[in-house]
Order: sequence, then C-alpha cells, then structure tokens
Amino acid sequence: MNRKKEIQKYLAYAFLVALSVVFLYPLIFLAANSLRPYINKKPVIFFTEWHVENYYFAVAMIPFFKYLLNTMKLVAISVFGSLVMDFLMGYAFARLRAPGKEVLFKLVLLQLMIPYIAIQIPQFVWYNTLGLMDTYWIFILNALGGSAYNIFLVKQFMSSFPRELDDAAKVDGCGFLRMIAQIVIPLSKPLYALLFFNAFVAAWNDYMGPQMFLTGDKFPLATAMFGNIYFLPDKPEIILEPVLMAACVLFTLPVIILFFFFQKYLVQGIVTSGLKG
Amino acid sequence: MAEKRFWNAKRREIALFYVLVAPFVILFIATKLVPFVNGLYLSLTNYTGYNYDRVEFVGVNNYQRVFTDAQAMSSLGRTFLIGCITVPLGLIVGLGCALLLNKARKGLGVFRTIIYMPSIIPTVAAGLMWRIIFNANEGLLNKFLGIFGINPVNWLGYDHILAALVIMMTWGSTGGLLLNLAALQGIPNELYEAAALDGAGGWKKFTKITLPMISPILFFNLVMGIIGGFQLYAQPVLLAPGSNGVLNLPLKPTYTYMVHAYQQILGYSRFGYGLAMMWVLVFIINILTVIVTKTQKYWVFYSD
Repeated sequence: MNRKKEIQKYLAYAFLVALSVVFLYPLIFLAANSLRPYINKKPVIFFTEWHVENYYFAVAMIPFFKYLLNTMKLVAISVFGSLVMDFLMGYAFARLRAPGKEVLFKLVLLQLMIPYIAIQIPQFVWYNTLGLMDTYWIFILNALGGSAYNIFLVKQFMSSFPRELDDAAKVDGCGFLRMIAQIVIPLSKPLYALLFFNAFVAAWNDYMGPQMFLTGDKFPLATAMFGNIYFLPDKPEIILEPVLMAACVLFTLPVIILFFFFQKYLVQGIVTSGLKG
Repeated sequence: MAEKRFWNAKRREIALFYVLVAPFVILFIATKLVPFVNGLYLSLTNYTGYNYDRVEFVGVNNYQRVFTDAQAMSSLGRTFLIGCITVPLGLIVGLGCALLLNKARKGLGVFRTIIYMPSIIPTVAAGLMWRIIFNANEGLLNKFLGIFGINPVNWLGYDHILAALVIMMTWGSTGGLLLNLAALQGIPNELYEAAALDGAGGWKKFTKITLPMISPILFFNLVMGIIGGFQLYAQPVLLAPGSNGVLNLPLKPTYTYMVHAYQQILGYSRFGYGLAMMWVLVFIINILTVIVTKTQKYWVFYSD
C-alpha cells in the first residue's frame, strides 16, 4: 500500500517535471533567442550566445520607455481603482448599515451581468460625443466607478469578519480611515494582494482598451507591440526577431516577477474569499 | 444624551455608506448604463462613427443582415468549433495540472509558478513568441519535430493555422489552475479515508469524490470558457500575417466572429452593423450559459 503510494508520488513528480518543461520551455526559447545575433537567422535552442545589444535595440528602435511610462500610468490608475475604490465600496456593502443598501447592491449584480463587449463599442461612441477621447479620463472614470467583480469579492471576504471588530474600533474613537488602514487592511492581506495583482496584470496586459480610447502617443506597450514594430529600417518585411524577442522579455518579466512574489498570497486570497464555492 | 450619540453614530454610518458608494452608482449610470442603452439604440441605426447627429433609424435591418451575412454566419460556426476544441482542452489541462500539483508537497511553489505562468504573461507577448516558435523555416517546433524525422510544417499557413492556434491556446490555458487547486485542497481528507475503508480504488475515489467535490469549480471554469471562447479575437489576429496591428486579417480557418465584428467597426466604420453583431453574440452566449446552467443539476454537486 505504502509502496504504491510512493510510486504514485514519484510518477506525479515525473509528470510535473515534464509539464513544467512543456510550459516553461517556450519562455526559455524566447529568452535564449533574444540574445542571439540579429543578423544570423538560425535560432538557438538554449543560452549559447549573449548578444545583450539586442536589448539596447529593443528599447532604442522604438520609444520603448515612453510606451512603458504610458503603461505605468494605466497600471497606476487601475491599481488605485482596485485598492482604494473597490476596496472601500466592498467594505461599505459588507460592513455598514444603511437603508437602501440591498437595492444598490442589485446595481452591482446588474453590472456583473453586462458583458464587456456589449458596452465597449457604445462606450467608444459615448466618450467620443463627450469629447473625452484620447484622454486618461476614460480610464480614471472607470477606476473611480469601481469594478463590480471586485466589489463583490471584497464584500464576500469581509462578510466573515466578526461584528465586534467595527464596534471595538468605534469605542476606541478610531477615525474611519485609520480603522481601514490599521485594522481592515491588515486583516485582508491576501485579498489585498489578489486585488493588487489582478489590477496590475489586467492594466499591464490590456491592449484593446487603449487601442479604442487612446491614440499613438499615449499607447501603452501592449498596444504598441501588437503589430510587428521591429524591422530593418529600409526593409519593413524583414522582422528583427531577436530584437522583438528581447522586447517581449522586457515586457513579460515584470509580470512574472510580480507573480512569483505574490503567488502565496494569491492562493490564500482565493481560498479565503469564498470565490471557490 | 447617550441616545443622541447613538443616533448620531447611526446617521454617520449611513452618510459614510452613501459617500463611499456614490461614485459607483453615479459612474455606473454615466459610463455603463447610458452607453449600454445608447448602444442598443445605435444598433438599430445606420451609424457609421461620423454621422452621430443625423443617424437614421433602420429598425432590425442590421440584425437581419447578421443572419444573412455569409461571413458572419460561417465565422460564428467556426468560432463555435474552435471553442469545442479549446474549451474542453483548457478544462482538462487546468484540472490535470491541479491534480498533479495537489500530490506535490516539496517544490509546490516552483511548479505552481511555472505551470501558471503561461496564463498571466501578456497575450501580445505570448502571441509574438508563438509566431516565432511556429516559424516554418527555423522555428522551434519544426526543429523539435525534425529530431523525429518529421518534415517542416508550415504552421502559420492555411492548412495548419488552426492546429497552431489550438497549441498556443492550450499552452496558455492554465488559468483555471489556482481555483482548481484551492478546491482540491478544500476536500476533507475524511472522505478519502472513509472510501478507502470501503475498499474504493483510485479511479473510484476520483469519480465518486474528487470530481463531484470540485464540480462547482469545473462549472465555473466551463462558463468562463464559453464566454471567453465566443469572444476569441486576439490570438488569431496575433498569428495572422501582416502588420496592421489589431486589424490584421487572420487566415480563413481562424477568422472568428469577433474578428469579423471588429473588422466591421474599426476597419469599415460600420458601427450600427458591428453593434448588432455584438448583440447577437451576447444573446448567443447568454442562451448557452443558461443551457449549461440548467444542466448543473445532472453533474454539479453543491455540498450545502
């Protein structure tokens, strides 16, 4: 019996290693080939060459840092919306007693039911008539209005806090913001991490929103990189693959690093927020 | 005195609630509900993106056109077929990886990171990466197949583009992993112990305990898969030839419904028609979701 279990365990590990290779190798291939000479057409299968200058070309051939700055702006707006607005609204729905709360929560559920594709183009038309096109206001308004999904998540999470928590804070004469910062946020760490990570990655990876609402000068990396932007200056049909791959590495690395540091909290956040059932 | 303080506190709480949720209510109406209704109206007009002040009401013309547009209908069927391949594959990959990870104690964090990674890296970066892997002459995949003596395959050509798309999407389909893993770890161990006492084997435990216990999550992943599957857009465009960015035209086998819709709107300025296409899609997705939800009682088990 025990022997059988042991064999099963080793088999599982063997499969895991094989799967890891399958899932990881394309990324290793990407990284290895971002370092191969850009004139030599032959790809390499592992890190055999170190032409770091590809990374210089990746940031110098296009206004890489301008796009990166634009990405960071959108990320900042998205993270603010998630960590401040969604969090406080979720808190309000979970912990505060007020008449009309149930009716207003129906609005949250209503927004959850409207699929994004049903309003994306209408929003495009609407912001156009409001004269907000090509401004960050569209993204700021979106962040301020909160995401129904996150509000729902926060509410679920906080509904399990004991009632005495709020009362204790009130007796202490603790101001509202101080209570949030010193009691509620520390108690919600995994959820807070989950919100931060989701908001960061969503904004970092989003190419369609900026494509719709912004123009070239304000494009973030994701939108700017959608086309093939690395080619020989006088021969646009020749794509500089290694340089393109270097740009992909630079674009992907922050998300991977972020995930590595956050993954423990993310799993906790999912388990404790009741999302699983 | 104490009474008064109590009432003040209560009023303060109510005021605080409304201050906190006011942005949501106001902006929900201003940036979502109004465009939503407006969009519904515009789908009944000949709106082109330029004639906003003089649009003409054309009734259900746009909707009729969706059903007579051969390209819209064939792309809809194609999208459905692609979904029939990629959605179950994604579910199996997500579940299989979670089952394996559930067995691992040592190195869980590392394996989890590696296997989950494909689902978080930017779609754009993944698409550009796979284009190079699929490259016919010197791509990784053909090089790998060459080891087994298989001749180079033109992955991005007409005959194999669908297979390429499926490979790429399956690689990136580990997103359901964390939820699955959380659900697996939530199954009480006593259930397995009791089953073992009754002499149940591994397969029986899997079908009688594991699958029913995580079926709510599988259901959730299935619904998300259906919703996402019908909106398939970025991956085919990223594998398409050309350098028109979001307006790149995918080859026929991967020309999906959303690609056609975005082409109408962003490429040809047919806003009214494109909106009607979107609404038809929303309607289809809703119907399918309702049908799948109705099947819940046959295969999804809720413990409470």
